[in-house]
Amino acid sequence: MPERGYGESLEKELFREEFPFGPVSRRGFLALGLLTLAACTPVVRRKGVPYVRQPEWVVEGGRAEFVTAVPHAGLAEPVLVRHYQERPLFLAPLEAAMSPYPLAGLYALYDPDRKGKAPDWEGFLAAWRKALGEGETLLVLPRLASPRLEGLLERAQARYPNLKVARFEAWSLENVYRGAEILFGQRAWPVYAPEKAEVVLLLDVDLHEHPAGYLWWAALSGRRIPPMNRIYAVESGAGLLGAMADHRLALKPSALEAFLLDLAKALGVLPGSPTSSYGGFLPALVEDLLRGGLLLPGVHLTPAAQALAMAVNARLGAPVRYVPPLEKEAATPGAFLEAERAERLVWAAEGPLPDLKGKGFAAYLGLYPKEAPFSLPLAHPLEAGGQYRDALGRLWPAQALVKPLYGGRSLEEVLAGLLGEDLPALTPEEKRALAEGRPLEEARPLALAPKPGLEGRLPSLRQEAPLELTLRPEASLYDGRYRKNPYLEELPRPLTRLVWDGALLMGEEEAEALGLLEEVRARERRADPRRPLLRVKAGGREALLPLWPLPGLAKGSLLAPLSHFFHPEGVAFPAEVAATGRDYPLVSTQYHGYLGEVEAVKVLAEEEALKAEPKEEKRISFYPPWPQGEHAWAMSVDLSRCVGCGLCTLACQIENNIPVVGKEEVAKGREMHWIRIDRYFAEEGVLHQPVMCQHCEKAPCEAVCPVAATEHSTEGLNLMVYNRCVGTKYCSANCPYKARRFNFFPYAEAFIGQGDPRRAKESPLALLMNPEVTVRSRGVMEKCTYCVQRIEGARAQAAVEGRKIRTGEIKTACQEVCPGKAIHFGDLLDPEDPIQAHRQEGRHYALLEEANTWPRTTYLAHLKNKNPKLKEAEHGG
Amino acid sequence: MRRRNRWVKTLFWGTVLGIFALLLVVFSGVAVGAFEQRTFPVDQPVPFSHAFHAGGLGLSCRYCHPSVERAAYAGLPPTETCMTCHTFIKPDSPNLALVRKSWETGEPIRWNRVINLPDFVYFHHGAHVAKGVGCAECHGRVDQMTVVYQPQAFTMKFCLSCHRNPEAHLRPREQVFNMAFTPDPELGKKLKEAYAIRSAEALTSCNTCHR
Repeated sequence: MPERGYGESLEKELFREEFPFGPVSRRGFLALGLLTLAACTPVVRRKGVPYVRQPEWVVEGGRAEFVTAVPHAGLAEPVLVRHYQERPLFLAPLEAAMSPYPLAGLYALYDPDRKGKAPDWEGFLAAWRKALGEGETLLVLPRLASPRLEGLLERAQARYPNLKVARFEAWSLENVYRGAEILFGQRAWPVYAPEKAEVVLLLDVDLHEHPAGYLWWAALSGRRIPPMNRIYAVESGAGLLGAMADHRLALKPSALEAFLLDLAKALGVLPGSPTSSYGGFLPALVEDLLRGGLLLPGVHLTPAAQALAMAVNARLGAPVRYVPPLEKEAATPGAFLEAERAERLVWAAEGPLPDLKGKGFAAYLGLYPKEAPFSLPLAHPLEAGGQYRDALGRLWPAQALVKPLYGGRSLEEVLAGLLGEDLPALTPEEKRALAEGRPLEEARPLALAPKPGLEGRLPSLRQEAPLELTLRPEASLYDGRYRKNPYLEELPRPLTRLVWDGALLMGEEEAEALGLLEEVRARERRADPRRPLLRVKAGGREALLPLWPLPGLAKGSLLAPLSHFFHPEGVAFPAEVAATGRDYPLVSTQYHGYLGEVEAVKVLAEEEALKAEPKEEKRISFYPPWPQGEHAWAMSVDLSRCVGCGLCTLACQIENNIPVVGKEEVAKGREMHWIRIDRYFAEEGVLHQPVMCQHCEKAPCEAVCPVAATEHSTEGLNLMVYNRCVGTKYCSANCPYKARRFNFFPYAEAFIGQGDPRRAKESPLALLMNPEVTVRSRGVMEKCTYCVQRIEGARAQAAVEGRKIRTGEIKTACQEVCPGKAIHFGDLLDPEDPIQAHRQEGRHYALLEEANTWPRTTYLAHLKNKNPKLKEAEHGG
Repeated sequence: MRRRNRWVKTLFWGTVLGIFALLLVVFSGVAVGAFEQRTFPVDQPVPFSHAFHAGGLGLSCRYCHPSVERAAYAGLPPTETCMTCHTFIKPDSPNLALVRKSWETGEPIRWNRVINLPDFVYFHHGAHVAKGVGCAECHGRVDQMTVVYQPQAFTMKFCLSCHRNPEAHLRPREQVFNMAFTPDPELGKKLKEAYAIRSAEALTSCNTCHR
């Protein structure tokens, strides 16, 4: 039976979810009730304030869509930005997929914390020029994949010989470029086409850890339905991509690289034969790879391992091509040390920040103001134009969508200012590319052939150590740069489902070796959130991190997030761990919305799925049928394509004005996400399931509302009428899927007012709210509405244009952003809509069928394509 | 009995009586008239007369409220629209002083909203105009109003009276902006078919107006 986590602690967690605050006296209860009567406000006649000179779009309604490229860690993500009345309100991927960071970055656009003192750009530039006259001044830049910016930089360096440039990124791509240099004699960047491979081997890589990670999943997910590909994963960490693998081998980093060496030998890339068969895994893998395999290595593997992976790909004839390196000079963490040593410094990079005190000249350029002699705002990516390469090497133009709200300037503008130049306006080619939604330039493919004699020039692989620590970017905070983004802070992390904190992840054996596993399990049983705080020493630096034991982690492998532990010399180290005797509370949403001992995620093998017949549904119910309207909306979620990334949760949050409630409230189970990803540890591996309101045709929640605030529409939607809701919470108690969220406090106003509901009226964050969706206050129930605002908007637009709603015209927010295209929303009455075909499939099922709720949201079972030659029971090296 | 107990009992029964009286007042409908204040004429900073401009001069509604066919809002005209005529016509009129000031300084005119639906009601003008609901149906004979007022309070009951029975309130699309047109229920039945207007059941579904 798939488990949410450690079995016995479930009961306590559930109890706490229902009664989080403990017993309350009768007097206290009554007092609270009477106090809430003081909520009446007088009615005021409002003003209507038109323009003096009206912009053109006002007549059309103010909706527009613009194409731009938002850079994340220097590399472009092409997006479609949806505006309402000139405010960017939503981002959808323009290409196959995008990462969550540009979407969550909308918060930073309107964040009043970006406002520092009025920026004195001229003063700063004058001081910088003066420092450049005095001596070497170091400019630390983030990863730059922009040829135009490089051009400006060259000119600046020619004009100011004292301008030294270093590039800093905590998570560097340098090893990949060096690996290509070892193998091909030339630095290059591999671009993979995973959709063309029959067998894929993932080597220690996760979605957010590779610039093309989300694009990979978009490509791979298309082959996770018959005819299926086969995914193997060999990893030292615990990633979402690895969880989707048909076969997974957990090895610590040094063992992983040794495995790669053995794989190369087995395929004849290197002379010799493999040292071990890894329990039969290696021979089966080799046989499978030979029928059309592709290796996808993580970017942090040593250059030797990168070269081996590229050599294996070449040997397999894998679908990979090589383009010039994305960066002119690779950004590495080592620039941090240079910055610490520099006497005169301008820091414009992101992530970990060195100490700026005690320098002759120190300036900080970033989104948020910092304590520094000079702190100047950089423009948000949506506030400035530019040109950036994406992870596939194509050059995309970017356009500014709002004037800088807080006086920020882009890096291009800053360098141009240093040179005393003006930036050129958008060229006609850029405008055409932006209007058509295509890149400016395709990537230039390099014709590379592996140079012979690799074994002679291969440097050393990862050294072995009893405990090997890998510092990896955190799924939400990346390297710490998104720490001020509450959307990302509250997004539950992959596999651990932690929020608001980073933890040290280790396997259960290591935790037992430290003598801490029992304590952790006992605390889970008591629903005590405190976890032991450990001191981790690696590479001469140390950090304090709370412990989170994670099943499935390789033996001897430790994982720490880069946002909480940064080391300028790299990301993989032998480590020592010691308990400090102190504790730290960690909040995880893993038990929230527990459905009971049910098989929530069905797993089928490919053959079973093809043979399976759709079950005949037993349609017996006491309730009479609802009247049928013009459409019958329904949704299908394909669990074979869902990787558990959480982009749907984030998109729903931004589209529907869902607030962030904070760590304390999440600890009580009150996070407001309308769609949550349930994570199960099962024999087949880690399974993910997005659960949102199922819009049951026989909804248990509709019957029990005393004020008819939740009704069934003629088109199949379970409606939520916020203005009628009095907060009885009977509906939420009745919902078997626990899909309803209640506003126990004025969460939305507190979110907009940055903690204080009374400040909501003047906060610029109110601009972030979607005006098509009600902002809910305290005491109101809310839940997934199938994006009813989009349905009604499409209906009104169709009425204005005198036509019917087209097939596929309405896309829910979750559907738009899903990289795997797992969610499909459609009309059951439309013959052209694929939703009916989904329901006829053999792997179609409804969640909690025995509850007889007849949900309109149904699931397609998760498929695994196991190698018949590999028996179960995967093992560590 | 003890003094405290008598006091408690009086308080209790007094409250019960009070709540009963309150419910009586509410359900008798005697206070429904409180909504009548919404139908009084509303004073505006600039004495714009619809009766003169829309009625007398015959200016089209859409000259000033162009978004009504395309967007959810009908919109208020920008100062620019007023100045298209009043730069030349009555350029020194004292009534238009505020308009000229707005044009020169760039400060918009702050009109007092006559129709102000609560935030939890989402109304789409474009959909209604496209389906043959005339301006005068809801807003009355604006072309006869010197000072604009709402002919009836926009209670939910008012919206439902049409949504439950659209046939009685429809007119051909060409007549939507003709304030003098009287709807014909027989024609309305045909128009309901022709304009693909949904059944009363679907129209009174909560999501039609509340999301």
